[in-house]
Amino acid sequence: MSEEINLRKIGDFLWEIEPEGDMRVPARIYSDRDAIDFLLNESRTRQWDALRQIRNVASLPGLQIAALGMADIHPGYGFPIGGVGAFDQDEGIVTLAGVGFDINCGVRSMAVDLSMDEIESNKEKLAEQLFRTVPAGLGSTGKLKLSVEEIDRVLTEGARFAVRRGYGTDQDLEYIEEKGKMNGADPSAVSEQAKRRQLKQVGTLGSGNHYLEVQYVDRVYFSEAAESYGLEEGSVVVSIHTGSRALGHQIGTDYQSILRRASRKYGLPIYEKELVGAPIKSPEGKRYISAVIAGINCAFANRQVIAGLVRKAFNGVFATSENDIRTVYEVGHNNIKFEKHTVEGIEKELLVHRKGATRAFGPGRDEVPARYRAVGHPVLVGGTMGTSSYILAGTEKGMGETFGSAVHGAGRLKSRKQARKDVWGEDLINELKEEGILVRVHSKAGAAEEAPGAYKDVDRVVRAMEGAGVNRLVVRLKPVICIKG
Amino acid sequence: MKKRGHDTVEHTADMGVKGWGPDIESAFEEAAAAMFGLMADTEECDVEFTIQVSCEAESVEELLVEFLNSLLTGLDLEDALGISVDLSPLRHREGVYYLAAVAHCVSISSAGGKMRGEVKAATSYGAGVESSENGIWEAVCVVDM
Repeated sequence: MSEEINLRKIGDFLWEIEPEGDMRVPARIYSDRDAIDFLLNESRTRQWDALRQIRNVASLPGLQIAALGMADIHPGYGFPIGGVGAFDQDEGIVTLAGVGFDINCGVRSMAVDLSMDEIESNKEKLAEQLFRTVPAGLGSTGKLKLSVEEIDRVLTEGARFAVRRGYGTDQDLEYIEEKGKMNGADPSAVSEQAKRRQLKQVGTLGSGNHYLEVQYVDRVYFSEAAESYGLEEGSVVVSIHTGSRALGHQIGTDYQSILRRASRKYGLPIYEKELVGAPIKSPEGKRYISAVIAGINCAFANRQVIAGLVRKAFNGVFATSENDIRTVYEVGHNNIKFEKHTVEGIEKELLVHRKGATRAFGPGRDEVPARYRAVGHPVLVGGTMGTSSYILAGTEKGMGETFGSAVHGAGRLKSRKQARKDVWGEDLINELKEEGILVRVHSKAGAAEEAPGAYKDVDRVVRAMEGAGVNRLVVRLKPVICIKG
Repeated sequence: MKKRGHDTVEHTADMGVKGWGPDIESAFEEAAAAMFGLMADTEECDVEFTIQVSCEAESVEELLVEFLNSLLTGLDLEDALGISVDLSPLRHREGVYYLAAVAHCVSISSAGGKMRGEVKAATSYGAGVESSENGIWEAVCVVDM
C-alpha cells in the first residue's frame, strides 16, 4: 500500500479512503474538516496513526460495506478507537483488536428524582458519600467477595446475578442493552486466572478514563426523544462509566497468543501485531467469541452492582428509595455482537465489532426497549470532567450507513504523558471546583491525564455525527460531581 | 544516555514503556520498571515479598508482551505493586524463548497514597526488542490504560 493516505469528501461530515492495495472495501470516517486535517497530520508525523489502522481494518477478510471511523476516532492498537467493522459470518473473522482489553466497557445513566437545588445544597456531602461507597482506583475491591463458581454465574447471568444479590431490580434489566445478559457465554473459555482476578473486583469502578458522574440536563435538542427517555431540562442524571475489570483484561491477554497462532494457522493477513484473529466459525474464533460474551456479561454485572451502590449513597444523603433512581439506559462501547443488517438489499446476520463505538439502534428495532422504540434507544456519550456529556439517538440513515453506531466519547487528543506535563492534577481539581464541579479522585496524576484539554471537543464530535445524519442530539448533560479512580 | 534505564513513550490513547540495558534481560527488567512506575510510585518502598513469573514465546517481542502481562496478572492476584524485577538469563531452544523472573513487591495496603493507575494489559501493538550498534538493547511496548 502507498504510504500517503488519500481521503476525499463524499458527503456532509463524511470522508472516504477508496480501496487500494489490499483494501477489500473503502474506509469511511465521520468528521469535520479540522479533525480530518489533524488525522492527516498525525498520519504524516506520528508512529501511531488512526488512518493507517482503519485502512488495515478495511483489508480484513469478510468485512462488509466499509471500515468505519466515528467522529471520535483516534489511534488504538491495531484497530482504531472509534472504529466499527461488520464481518460476514462465513468469510469474516473475529479480531482481538476490535474488542480490546476492556470488554464491554460502557455507560449506565440513571435519572434521579431530585431537583438540582437539592443536589447543590448537599453537593459536598453527596460527593463524599459516593466516593466512600463506590470502590475505585488501583487495588480497590468490591463489596461482593465471590467464589470461582459464583464468577461462572456472573459470566452467564450478567446483571441478573447482581439483581439476585440485591443490587437493583428487574426493572433495571429492561433498560440495559441485551437486557443485561448476552447468550452464548462459555465460562470454560475463560481462564482460571481471569476468574481469580475477578473474585474481588465485581462492583469496582477502576481507574483511567472510568468515572462516576452526577450531571444535569442543561439543554434539550430533540424533545420527543427526551420525553420518551423521561428527561427534561434540569433533570438530574448519574452516569457510570466502567467495564469488565480484570476479567476482561485477562481474557484479552490470554487470547493474544491464541489468536496470533490462529492467524498464522488460517493464513490471515497480519497488518499489525495486535490485529490478529480467527475465522468466525473456526474453533478458535468460536471460543474467543464465547469468552468475550462472558466478559460482556461480567461488565453488565459490574455496572449493576455499582448502580446499587449509587442508590445506597443517595439514600444515605437524601433518604431516596430505589425507585427514585431510574435506569434510563446502559450500553457498551467495546463489543462484538451478532446483529441483523441490510447489505446490498439483503438482510444478513453480521458480527459487528465496535471498538470505542456505541451501538445506536434507531426507531423500530426489536432490540430497543418498547418505551423507546419510536425514537431509538439512548446513546450515552461521555465527555470529560469539565465538559458536557451527551445522550444521542440513532437514525434510519445511521442504521444503513454505520450498522447503527455512534461515537463513545470525545476521543483523546493528547497522550497521557503530554497531559501530565500540561496540567497538575491538584490545580485541575481546584479549577473545576471554581466552576462548580466537585472532583474526588484516588490518583491526582490520573486526574491530570483525564483533563478536559487532553480530549477533543466533544461538542464538535457529536455535531459531526448529527451533521452526517447518522445520530441525533437528544440532550446535553453538564457535570456537577465527578468520582474517579 | 545511562547504560541502563527506562522511560515512557507517548501514545495517544494509552502509554508506551521503554527499557534499555547492556543485555536483553536488563532491557526487559527496565521495561517492567517503567510499567511499575505507571501504576504507583514504589521506588522508595521496602520489598515485602516476591512473586515468580515465567512465560514462553516464539519471538523476543512476543516474549516481552507475555512477560509484562505475566507480571500484571501476578501482581493483581497478590494485591501487590511491583518495585523491581530480576530476570534469569533467557533460554532459547527449538525456536521458543523461555523466561523466568522474580518480581520484588509491596502490598497495595502498605503502599498508602502512592498509587497512580491501573495498567489493563501489555499489547503486541508496537512491541519491539532491538539492539543498537553500541550494544545497548531496547525493549518497547504499548500498555493499555
